[in-house]
Amino acid sequence: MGYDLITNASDDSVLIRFDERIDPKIASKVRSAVLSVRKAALPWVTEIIPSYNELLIILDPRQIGPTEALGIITEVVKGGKDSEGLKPRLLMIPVCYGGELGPDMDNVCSFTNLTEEEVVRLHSAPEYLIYMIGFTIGFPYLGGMDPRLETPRLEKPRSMVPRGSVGIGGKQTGIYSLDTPGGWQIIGRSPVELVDIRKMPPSLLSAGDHVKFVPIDKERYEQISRAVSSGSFNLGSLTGEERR
Amino acid sequence: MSGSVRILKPGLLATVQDLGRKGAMAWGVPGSGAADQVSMRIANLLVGNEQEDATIEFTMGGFEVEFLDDVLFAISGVSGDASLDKVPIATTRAVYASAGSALAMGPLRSGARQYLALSGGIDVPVVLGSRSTYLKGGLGGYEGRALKRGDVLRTFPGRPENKLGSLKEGFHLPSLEKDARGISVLRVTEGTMSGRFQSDAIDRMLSAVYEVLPESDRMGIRLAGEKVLHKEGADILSGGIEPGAVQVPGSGNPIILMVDRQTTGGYTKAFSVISADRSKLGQLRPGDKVRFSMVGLEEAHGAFLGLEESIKDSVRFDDAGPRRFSVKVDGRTYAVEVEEVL
Repeated sequence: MGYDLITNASDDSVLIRFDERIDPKIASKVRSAVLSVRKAALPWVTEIIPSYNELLIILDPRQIGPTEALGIITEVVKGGKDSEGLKPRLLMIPVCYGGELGPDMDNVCSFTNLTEEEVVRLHSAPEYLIYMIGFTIGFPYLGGMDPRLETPRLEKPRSMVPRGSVGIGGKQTGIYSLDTPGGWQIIGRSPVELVDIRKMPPSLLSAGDHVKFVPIDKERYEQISRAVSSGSFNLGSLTGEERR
Repeated sequence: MSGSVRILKPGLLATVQDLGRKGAMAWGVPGSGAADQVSMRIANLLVGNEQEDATIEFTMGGFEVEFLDDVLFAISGVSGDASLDKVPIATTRAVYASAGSALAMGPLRSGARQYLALSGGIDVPVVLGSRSTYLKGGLGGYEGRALKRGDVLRTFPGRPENKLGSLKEGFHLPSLEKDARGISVLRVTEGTMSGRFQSDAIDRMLSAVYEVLPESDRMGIRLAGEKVLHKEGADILSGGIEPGAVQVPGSGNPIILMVDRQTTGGYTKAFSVISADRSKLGQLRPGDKVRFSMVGLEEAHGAFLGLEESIKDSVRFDDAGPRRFSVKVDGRTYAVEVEEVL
């Protein structure tokens, strides 16, 4: 499995740690460990939290003690292969770039010396890997942004960034899942809702998924917005699946 | 019969809480739930509820509620100056209130939180498996927010039997325990990042006494005292936060993470408060003194199992004490006390 460390992180959790770096190879190891633990369906596991280079597993101490849990999880993870079950989803997220929905587009253009068209082209080209969900409900930490787009965060963070906003903060890019304060340069907005607390899981995106941003115009943005608010928007269309 | 209660004064912060959410941390959903779950569970036991039924968590006392129906209730957590229709009453035991009576709590002189359990449990919608309020996400509890003056909360129908719970003789709420010097002792187990700190940093933390800062809330207890020194900075790649984690940001001032903590974080962690002692965190108030004591993992687990046993065995039930009803006759309301005679 090639982990650096497997240990108890508290009397009710077990931690698996890999090399501390942001790297799709490490992410694939984390994902493989997630799948092994999920597949084992251990009744005393309450949370499986993946991140860049770690997997934290929280247990129900009513059902199991720390030493026994560590032993069982070590066995479960040993059995898993790196490539097993790796069929990541690709979600196509529509984004309306620039204009009033992307108020910091000019900042990004002038800092990077790129035209708006170039920024949109470079930003919507990659299939970004979701390393983890954290910070707030449904917020994806994405990897794979073109270094030419790197732009420092705003000097003064906004007290409210509307959900769906797509931004650049230093080397990172991402999409705000909820209305929250934030300091990233906002270059566009998606009409898709990333969070639905009536569903389990409540987040459209999961660690290990890939995301591609698809540029849309304002008219299409309004169209999808209306479909989303009336409940007629088909989320399956984002993955190419027809889910109803 | 189901009951209802109206908030007259919420105090510093009042929210609906149960034992919290499970299974959605991978998508960034915090656990939430009562900050002192031991007291919250005992409040439920006292009125014959299930331990996981939803209660109201009050902060620093100073609250007032009006019962709109006859209802069996109990307050657990710190004892305070409680009165029912201005008559002083004991806390941590079940009490009958008749419709129209008002429960008032004076400001707390020690501790931080109290739990009001009503027979049947608070009836609010379940969101992601729990009735707990998560304020920052605006979800769960009563409309996803803190309770305000005038809010009316309903309960599920309670158990019909007429039994009044009280604490067994000699049982003290473990979340309120302090040592002989008045310091809260938090047992911890070894962390996974000791190598990130200077060689004697953890030992110095373990021999220091820390003070709780006013910026503390349901996300974390912020401490001042012995500064914790890192080898090369406090920042790490963001990762999942284990329960009870004591996080040390660049300032060197530790933060004990609590029920509303974010699911992931990017600061080093020194060690973790054991599951048996986490309910104590919910009773820390600004100015309180705290120290850490390192124990082994199996000892920590033993303490947890011991605590669970003691909670199960904490409450005794007295049959049919005098029971108060309000009776309407010819449009006038009378308070009637009924007692079983042998």
